[in-house]
Amino acid sequence: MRVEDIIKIVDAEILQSVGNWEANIKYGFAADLLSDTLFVISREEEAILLITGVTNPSVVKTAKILDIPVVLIVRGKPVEQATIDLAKKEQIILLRTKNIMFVTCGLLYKEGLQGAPWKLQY
Amino acid sequence: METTILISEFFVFGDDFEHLGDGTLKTRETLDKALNEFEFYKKYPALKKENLRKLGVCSYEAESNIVIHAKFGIIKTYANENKIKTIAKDIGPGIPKLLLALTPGFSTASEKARKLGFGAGMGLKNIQKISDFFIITSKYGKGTYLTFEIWNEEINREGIKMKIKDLIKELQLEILTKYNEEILEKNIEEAYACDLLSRVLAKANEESTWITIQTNVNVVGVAVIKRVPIIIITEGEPVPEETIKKAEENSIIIARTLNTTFELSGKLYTLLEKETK
Repeated sequence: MRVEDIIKIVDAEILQSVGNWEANIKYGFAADLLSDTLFVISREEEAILLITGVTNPSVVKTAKILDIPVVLIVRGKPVEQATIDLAKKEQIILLRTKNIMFVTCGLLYKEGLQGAPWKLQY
Repeated sequence: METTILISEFFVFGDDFEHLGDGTLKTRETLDKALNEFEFYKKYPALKKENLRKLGVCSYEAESNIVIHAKFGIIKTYANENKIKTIAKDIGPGIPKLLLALTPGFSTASEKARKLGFGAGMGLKNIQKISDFFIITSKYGKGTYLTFEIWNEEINREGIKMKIKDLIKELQLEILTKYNEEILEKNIEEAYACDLLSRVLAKANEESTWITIQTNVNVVGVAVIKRVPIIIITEGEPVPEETIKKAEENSIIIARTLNTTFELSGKLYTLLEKETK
């Protein structure tokens, strides 16, 4: 799935456009706990979309560390300028949708975005 | 003689959520450049990416632990051709019960940390999971010392690998699917012999060769999930057209032998072992 497709599907606005628009996004992962994000998708090779309600700069740092090219902010939350600036510097595309997380995930899943692969290994 | 270089050294202050992650990102950036100097990473660029990510996640977790719990800490990262090593030391409350801290979901993080998306109680567990070597010691009321290493497994594994085309030749397998030459160049490291699909799903390592007598179409489904590049059907069992078609769609090779599973496993075991020596 292309970034353009994601924008169309969830009717997202672009908060920060510098980044890899060529990325072919195969998986999605939704969480508001960055620690969970770090735990689950620390080993996957393919491009992942991070769907989250976290809007502070930590979300960009997390995305960078995990090689996540696109972050989608849900619930139309206001995003700190510092987050946008950092995303620009680290070249991570930042999108925002007014939908709640459940609906956002549902729409994307219906269009073929798969859940990030992971096996239970506590 | 291998040279170890200091990649980065940075201070972390307790409760400084604003700068959390900066040190790790900087380390990652420096490491990215530094690793280019090593012959090994020139040979395996994909591994560099993987190691950078592993190191990034572990270092980020270590950094956030200090910010969330301690007063002050220092994180140092070293690298050489074989491994990347990080040491994180802090002055802080220490961890009274280490085993508990390694339990997923257990957390003593503040409300503030949780609001920012941290403190899910996964941090130490995550480092333990990702790293190849992990030590933590802590003195209650004094602080915590944590060290972890990311190893270049490829170095240790080198030589055990065998190309699919050699494997087919050596075991005299009959190939049933159409394939492109690229797949034949893939490397095989290990194999798993089993006829119970659910067991393969649960136990087989990814990218192993799979030896089985099952020929129904579900075999391919399991192979896709476990990223099995080649399935070897034993005892000359007939394979349905449907299975072959599905395998071809997913670029999986189905090969067949007249040997029993026992005989084939034995031969393959000897081959892979020989490669090691």
